[in-house]
Amino acid sequence: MSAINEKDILIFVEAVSNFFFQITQEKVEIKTAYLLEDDVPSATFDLTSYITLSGGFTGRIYFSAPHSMLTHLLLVMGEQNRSDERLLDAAGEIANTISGNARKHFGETMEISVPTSQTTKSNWLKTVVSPRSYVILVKWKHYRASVVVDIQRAEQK
Amino acid sequence: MNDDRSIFFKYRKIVFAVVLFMVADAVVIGVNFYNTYKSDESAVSINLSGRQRMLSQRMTKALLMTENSLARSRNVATKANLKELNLAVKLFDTTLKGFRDGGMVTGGDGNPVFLTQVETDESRKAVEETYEIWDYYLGLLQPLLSKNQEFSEEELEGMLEFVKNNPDTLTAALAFAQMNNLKILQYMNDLTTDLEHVANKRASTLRIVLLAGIFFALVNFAYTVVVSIRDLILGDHLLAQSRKETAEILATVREGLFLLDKDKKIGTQFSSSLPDILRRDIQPGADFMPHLEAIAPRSVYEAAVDYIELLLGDRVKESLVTSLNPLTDVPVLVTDTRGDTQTRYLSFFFNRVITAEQISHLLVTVQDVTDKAVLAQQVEQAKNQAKAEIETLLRLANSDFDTLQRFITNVGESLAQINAALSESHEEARERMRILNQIMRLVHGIKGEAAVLGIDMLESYAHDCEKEMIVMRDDENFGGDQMLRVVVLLEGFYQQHSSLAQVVSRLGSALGKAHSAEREDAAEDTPRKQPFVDHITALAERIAADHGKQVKVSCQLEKMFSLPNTVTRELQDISVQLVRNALAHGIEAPDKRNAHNKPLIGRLSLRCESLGHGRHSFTVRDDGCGIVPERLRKLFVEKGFMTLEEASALSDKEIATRLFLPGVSTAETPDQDSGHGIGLDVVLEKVKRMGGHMLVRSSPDKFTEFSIQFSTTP
Amino acid sequence: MKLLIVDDSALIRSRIARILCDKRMNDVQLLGMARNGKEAITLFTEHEPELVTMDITMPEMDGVECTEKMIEINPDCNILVVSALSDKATALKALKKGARGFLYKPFSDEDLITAFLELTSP
Repeated sequence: MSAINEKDILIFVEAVSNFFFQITQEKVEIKTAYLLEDDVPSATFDLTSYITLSGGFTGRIYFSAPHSMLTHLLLVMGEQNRSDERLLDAAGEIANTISGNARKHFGETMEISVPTSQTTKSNWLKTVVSPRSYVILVKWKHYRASVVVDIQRAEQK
Repeated sequence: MNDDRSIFFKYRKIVFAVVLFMVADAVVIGVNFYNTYKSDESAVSINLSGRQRMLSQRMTKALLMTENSLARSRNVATKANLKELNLAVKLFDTTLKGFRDGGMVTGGDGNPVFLTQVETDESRKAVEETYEIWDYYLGLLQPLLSKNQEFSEEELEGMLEFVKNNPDTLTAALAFAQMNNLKILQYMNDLTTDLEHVANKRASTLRIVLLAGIFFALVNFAYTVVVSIRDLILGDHLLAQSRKETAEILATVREGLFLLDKDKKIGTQFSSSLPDILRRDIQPGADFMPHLEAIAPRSVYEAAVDYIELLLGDRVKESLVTSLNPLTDVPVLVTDTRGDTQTRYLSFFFNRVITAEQISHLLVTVQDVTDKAVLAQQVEQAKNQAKAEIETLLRLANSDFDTLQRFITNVGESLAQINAALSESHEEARERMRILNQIMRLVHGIKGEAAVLGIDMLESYAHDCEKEMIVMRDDENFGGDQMLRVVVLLEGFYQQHSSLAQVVSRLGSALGKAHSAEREDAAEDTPRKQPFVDHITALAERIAADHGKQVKVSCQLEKMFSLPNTVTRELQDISVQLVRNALAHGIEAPDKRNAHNKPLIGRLSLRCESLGHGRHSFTVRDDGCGIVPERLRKLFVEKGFMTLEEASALSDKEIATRLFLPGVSTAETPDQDSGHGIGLDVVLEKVKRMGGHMLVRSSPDKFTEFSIQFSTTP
Repeated sequence: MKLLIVDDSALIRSRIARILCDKRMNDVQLLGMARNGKEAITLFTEHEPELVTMDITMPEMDGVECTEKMIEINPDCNILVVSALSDKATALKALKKGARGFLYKPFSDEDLITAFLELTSP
């Protein structure tokens, strides 16, 4: 049995998409999706935020985006302060939206951590996620960002 | 069951009251009638006893008048007075007798009436005491009385003579009469009084009886009214309660419940879950069939129409047709609240409702059995999968181990290529389409190899992936979201691949070949002829069997296995595809071959030859129906690849070339071996990669030959 | 009760005959057995049976057509379709033509007797 399906994955991507749409009236578009393996792009951008799930699913959902994209976002929001700290806040906020959607979709029994945000180097995701995690490359305006889904359905009795 | 009895039982109290009322009425009427009759009798008695008083006076008066007229010698008057005396005595006597014994007497109007015997002691006493006087009195009067009461002139003359001659007789009677007249009068008066008293008593009894009757009737009426009203109220209450219960049942029951009338209309009441289960807006009284038609597959719907009509008719036996209910576990397409269509499984059960020995309705129960059906499917799937896995395992055990390992490596590489293709960013839809086509070719390649090795598990998975991707390819809105699906399919592929790799590695250790993976790189791994010939023959025969065809394969492939390994592998892949094509499109079914006077068993040959100067040819030839441009034109138009004008504008050669474009297929229905329009384009790509070119020769209903010419000296 | 058995399988024919013509069954008299629709119609016309067991898939003339013909000849005839077909629609067709009941093959003795009793009850 396959662990998760595209509908489950779509829940996370839609969360990101809705977040951007509410603030900017511009939808996020899925560019492509692939499995994170050695010889494919690492999908890691400047800033990454993630939440940890336990319960029905266990694992992490990552949102990774370049500086420029989050700066643009703050600009659209009318935020004057665009320090790194603020950018990490924004990334965390997006991860929070993901966790909200996840809870709605998978039910209240799912435990979801508060987001952890950090600046990340180019190959970082490949070093932390399980092999063959799902990468969904999204586009907002001309920026690229990624949602990486590294979760497994918990073993059932 | 018995309605009559139950109705009687239901209204038994009222029926009882009504019967009682009628009986009481009859009694009262009877009493009344009896009393009226008695009153008539009393009236006669009273009347006649009154007359007795008058008669005693008349007798005395007649005696006096007789004496008077006799004294004056008025003979005519004397005779008249004697007659009057006679009449009075006679009437008095019979009446008195009547009172004593009962009997017919002359009534007041001269007609005979029946006089009843007196009943009370007083009356009897009065009558008896009268007799004490009357017996003597009558004795005194006797000489004066007529013998025959005819009162003829002679008799009257005789009587006159007697009185004239015996005046003492008259004197004695008159004296007695004057002395006793008052007494008689008194007795008769007593009698009258007593009779009146009896009559009054009877009248008052009657009144009491009537009053009692009326009272009883009133009570009975009141009882009836109370009982009926109470029963009605109770009935209404029960009815309301049962309605409420029905409503509650219909509101809470999980199944869809409704009645279907003879016109196949849904009844006014149905369970509230019905619209949910059917996922349709159901109105009371709505036609059921259009709802069913909208959700059920066509064939099921048509069978259901027959079935429902049979049940509504009275020809078939219900219990002997329920096994034919076509509406069990029906897959229906429904649209959920989010607008997604999904397949659910519903079961409908129909039961006749019989009213007055007629089929009035069908009671329909609808259940959503999706969970059950899905579970059954999963069990089935799991079974099949387990079976496929075991079959795979058995085949693997029989396979050439090195071939297997190479296959696993190849699949791994193909999957990596697919993932790499996916990870490329693609801006345009056309770009995306190119990538999808590329992925499909890779998947198709895996399918082909899996087929050759008889690894059903992977072959069918690849086939399923292919099917889904074809839908995507034909979807105009193919975009990023579908890419998500592709990547999920890819992940599934990886899982299949890794479990297969595990099996092979275990098998390897079992066979003591644990290190052959390393050996593969060191020692030049050479494709070997015999396993390949075996595989390709088996594949051809299997495909032929699947299509109801027969085939004999002949191979001359020694040359092929002397070529560089890379070339040999490409040729192996190509031959799988061409063999598939030949069997799916070329070689005909036996009856068709028979019609063309061809041997029933098709021939398929694979040949690899040296053409000299490092050039080689690889040929796959079948003796099937051939590639016929005219047929292709027709087919392409039918399948909507091109319009009639476009098809006619193309030359025969151009038409045939179309076979090599992605997405073009000539098979009627897609199956594992054909129909997806992936195949010849893959072959052509490989040929190009080898730096070769391909020749196609064909003759209608005779043969088709694909020949690849290539050079091994770069 | 006069019975006609229509089935292309000799095995089924003799089985039905054995079960229904048992002494304990009230007075079932076997008129004949037919291997296909055509034979059945001939026997039917000759003997006017009251009860017919009818297979669906048979050579010459299938059970649906045969049922239709029989009902044309005698609309009161009791026809029980006894068939193994998985296609309910075809069985329903036979019932539409006037057969009164359906019994799946394979059947147990009890199945057939129950169906017979149900069919012959008023």
